[in-house]
Amino acid sequence: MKIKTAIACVVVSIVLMAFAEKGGSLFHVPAGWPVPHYDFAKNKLTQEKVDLGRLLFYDPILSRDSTISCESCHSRFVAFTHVDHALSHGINDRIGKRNAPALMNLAWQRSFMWDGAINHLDMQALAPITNALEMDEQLPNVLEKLRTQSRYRFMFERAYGDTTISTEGMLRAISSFMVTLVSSNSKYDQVKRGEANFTRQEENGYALFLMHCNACHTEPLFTNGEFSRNGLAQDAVLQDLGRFAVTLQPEDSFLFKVPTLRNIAYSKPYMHDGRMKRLSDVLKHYASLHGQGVHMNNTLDQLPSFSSEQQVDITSFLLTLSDSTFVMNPAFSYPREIIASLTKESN
Amino acid sequence: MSTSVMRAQHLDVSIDSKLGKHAFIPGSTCAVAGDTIQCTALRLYLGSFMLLNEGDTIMRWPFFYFLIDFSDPSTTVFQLPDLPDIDFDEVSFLIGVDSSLQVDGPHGGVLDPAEGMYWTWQNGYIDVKVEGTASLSTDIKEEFAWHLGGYQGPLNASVRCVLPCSKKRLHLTIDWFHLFHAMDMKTQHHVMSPSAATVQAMEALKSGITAR
Ligand code: HEC
Ligand code: HEC
Repeated sequence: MKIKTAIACVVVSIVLMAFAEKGGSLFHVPAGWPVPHYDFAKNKLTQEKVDLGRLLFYDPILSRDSTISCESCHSRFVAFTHVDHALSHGINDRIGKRNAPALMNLAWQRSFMWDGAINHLDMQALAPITNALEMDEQLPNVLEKLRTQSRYRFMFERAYGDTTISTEGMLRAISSFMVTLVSSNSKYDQVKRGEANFTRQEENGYALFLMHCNACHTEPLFTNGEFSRNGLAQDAVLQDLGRFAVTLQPEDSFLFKVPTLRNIAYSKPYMHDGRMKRLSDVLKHYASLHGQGVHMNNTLDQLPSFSSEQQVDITSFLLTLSDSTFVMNPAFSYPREIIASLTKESN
Repeated sequence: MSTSVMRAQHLDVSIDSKLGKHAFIPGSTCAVAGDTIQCTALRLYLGSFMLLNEGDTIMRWPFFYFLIDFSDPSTTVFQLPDLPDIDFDEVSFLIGVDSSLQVDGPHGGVLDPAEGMYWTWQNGYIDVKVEGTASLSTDIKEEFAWHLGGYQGPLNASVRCVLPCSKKRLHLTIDWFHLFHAMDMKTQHHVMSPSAATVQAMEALKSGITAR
């Protein structure tokens, strides 16, 4: 295990050095962050792949009737979650089972979806494309449709050196775009870099956070990547068993992936089923767990009944995790300039 | 012609499929043990072949996988390349896809998810796919569909078969009777995700494979 990690470190730093040399800033590991989990040696990041992935991410061609793109449920302005939707809806307005998670810092994530059903970022896009409630398309059809478009033949050739449009090429391009979605410039990050200061309230909130929340929402990613319970009552209608559905191990019932809290102010509503509309609802929920002692989890069972001042303090700290440069980053936006240059190309 | 490398040849593999006494491929109808079974799809992965001699592994093809589709006879014969000129007495192979190939991102060739042997909503390969109708199935349309797979921990479904083999030609016969015997058409006419029952079903399938 140790050796593996060491090798991974070496590989990653070689890859990253390669970028640094090219002067490219497609991806970098912010100071003090752990080594990414994503294997860049298998999918070398290039601008060409990122461009192709961005085009695909914003293109409804991936859905059966060309109405839904990835962006429909993962919009940049709300940190790539589904604007104000508790349960995301897809093709023909069919309602899904879960709240669309915000997308960021995916290179550090080990498994995907609220229950970890997806084991590799490269395989993620297949799930929404083929889900009848989301994009409802068949993979061979998607490839067929992409092959008929000269813009994709051109973009695949640019990215991979030949015009073959394969599942692998498509998936690796979408991942390439997604791993560039790094958010590391919130006020919290600036404070850590010594470029800004917390207010007294934020400072208090941070101290409470470290004591009571950080075990699960561990900085700097604000998730420990584990599956856990956070004291939510089960929704009787949705009957979502969480991680159990993947492992069939009874002890995994009702466990959900600990979500990152970065950009949390943008990504409402909250929880796997979007049941909470406001951060204040979330804080009330955690304060209400005090003294219940039924969660089989020490951190949760030891939560104090946060006073309303403490709840406000924690919330004000959570607001320092908003990264406006992330949600405004033009490199993550609708690929207008790529499409414009492609149109010129074909004229 | 002194070195084994220069004499490298192939291991030729061919496979046929039956259910009890009957040939069993998509399109065929078989009456077995009180049930009448019509097959519409029959596909499985074989791979990670090895040759052994007196228990020692002497040759491995860890990254060679084959998708056998009994509706396409060309997929039922294949070759394993670069066979050195050495003695062996057993062949070993996986039915299904090794778990290490299920967690490292996309693969091409027969392991392309577009082949339809991959679960997209909960990652993992479908090792074996059997579909059709059965008179004993309690499904309203008397259909059954078994998608057998799973790679995680106790749900790892792929099974390793070890069979006698000492020639450069290996002929495998799969008798699906063992699988049908292990499955209950009343409660298990549709199996679409990994489970402990799938792991048992794969063991049963394995016991129906013989080499000649
Ligand atoms: C109809 C809405 C919808 C569409 C379209 C959609 N997603 Fe999602 N996405 C979701 C939902 C809901 C989840 C969480 C599902 C779950 O946990 O079961 C999710 C989860 C994800 C995750 C996992 C995030 C995490 O933290 O675990 C990624 C990555 C992702 N989607 C990328 C994509 C890509 C790429 C596309 C386009 C190919 C796409 N999505 C299309 C709704 C959608
Ligand atoms: C024992 C682990 C654990 C602890 C401790 C914990 N959480 Fe959570 N938190 C979770 C899990 C798991 C979820 C997702 C639950 C779900 O949706 O079912 C979650 C969800 C959240 C969400 C919603 C995120 C989203 O994107 O929907 C917020 C906000 C949050 N927690 C804040 C906090 C705060 C503030 C604290 C400290 C007072 C805290 N958490 C303590 C595990 C924990």
